[in-house]
Amino acid sequence: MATPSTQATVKLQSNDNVVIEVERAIAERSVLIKNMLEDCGEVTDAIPISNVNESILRKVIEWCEHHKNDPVAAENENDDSRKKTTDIDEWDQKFMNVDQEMLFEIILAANFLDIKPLLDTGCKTVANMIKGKSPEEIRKLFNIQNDFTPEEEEQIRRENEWAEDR
Amino acid sequence: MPTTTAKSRSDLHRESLRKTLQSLAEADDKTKALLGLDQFIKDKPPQDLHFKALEIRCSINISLGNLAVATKDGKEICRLQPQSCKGYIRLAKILSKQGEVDKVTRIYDHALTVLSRGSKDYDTVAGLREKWVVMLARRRKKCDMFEFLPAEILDEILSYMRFRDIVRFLGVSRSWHNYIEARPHFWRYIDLRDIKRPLGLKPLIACLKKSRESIQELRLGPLQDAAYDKVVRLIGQVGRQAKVLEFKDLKRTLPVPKEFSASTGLLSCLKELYLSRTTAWDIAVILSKVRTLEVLEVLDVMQSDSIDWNCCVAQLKRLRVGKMERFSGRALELDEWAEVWALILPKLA
Repeated sequence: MATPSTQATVKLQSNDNVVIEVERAIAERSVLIKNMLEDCGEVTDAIPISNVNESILRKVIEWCEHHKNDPVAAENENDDSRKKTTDIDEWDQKFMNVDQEMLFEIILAANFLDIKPLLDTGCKTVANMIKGKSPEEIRKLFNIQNDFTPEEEEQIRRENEWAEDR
Repeated sequence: MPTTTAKSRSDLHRESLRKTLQSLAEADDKTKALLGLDQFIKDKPPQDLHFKALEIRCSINISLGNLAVATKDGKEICRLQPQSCKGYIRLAKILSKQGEVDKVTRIYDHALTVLSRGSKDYDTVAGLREKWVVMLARRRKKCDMFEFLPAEILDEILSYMRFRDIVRFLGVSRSWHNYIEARPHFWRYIDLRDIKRPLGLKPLIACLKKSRESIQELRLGPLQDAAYDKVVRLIGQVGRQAKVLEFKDLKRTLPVPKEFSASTGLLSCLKELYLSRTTAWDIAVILSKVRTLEVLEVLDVMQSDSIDWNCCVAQLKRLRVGKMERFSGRALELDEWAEVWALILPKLA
């Protein structure tokens, strides 16, 4: 019989009503869930994760499982330096190798669930996608319509020519 | 030739296997069902039942999110029954769950080359492929991150960019342009050390303007010669707020006046900088790299009595010691020199 304070698993319910049972320690990678469990004590009902659908929730849990033994990083709030590295470990790279929509959904879910390291990894992944790219390449990457008039475009190009890579 | 009894026995056996399989497929406890299926497949049932069992196991694993295991079965199904659409459809489903968008299309395409044209299975796959492509186009369309992600996350992503990238992104689209322009904090950390050609005055002014005069860091790379004097004066003005000021490779591109103290522009700039900060020594060190300037001469220009000598001594340790003899330019108090040399002498060896 489990003691009340160490409930072994929790149930999470995606917004498409799929209930997934996970180890409590894994679910607690999410600060949101961790706080919720701490506030409510024993939770036997499924916790509704209202912003996240099943496939994304599974992805997020997969990540939490793999990272369940990571040390919790110290809060580094005023890390405002612009020289941040975009290195991502190999497993995470593979994990993030998904289509753009899913990648963005994972980022949103990590933000909502308050899983800072996953959010960071997601942001770094997008950062690596756009780093060093020309406006044209960015448009292609995200399927963005070039909505400048030719004159505007020419002016912007002229003004920022010096920032080109080549 | 099998005997009649043997035949009916095998029929019976087959019937019981079929029932087992069906109950496994309908079981509520999926984990248990998977165990049953594993055993069922291990027992080498007749080929069609084996095939059926694989299908069921694959589907259960897909629904449970065990995608790697499901992939194995999916591939096996394709291998055993290349003319059936079932394996391909499952593989496509797995890939789509994994977010491998391109591979989904590829698996459908592959299936269409393998399946015989006109068959029911061919038509099924062709229909699914069409739906998929339409869905994909719709999905891809809205994937501009600026439409998808909230500002706090966009800021986080862009904080990984070099300054130059941010400037370049102004040209992507109106929404990108307006977003970047409207956020002064992108312009507070100006790093121009990695630009390819020497920078003129105009772009620099444009960048500084966008920072709304709240520049935090300014790191300069090569500058155009003509821009030099004005840039220095400008830096003197904006440098008030900047916490970090760095010149890279100034020696090569900037014609530093031979007589340093005679350069009034530079001097007034230095004064401005000095008055706005405590790290006078940093400026002196930066400028000492420009030329073999006498660091202490620079310090003399500033109010020497407010110089933090502890800081200076610490910095001296980092300087190239070969220039030390040139530090005699300022008349130091004896005990000051003693302190400085005590720190420097070990480094000279």
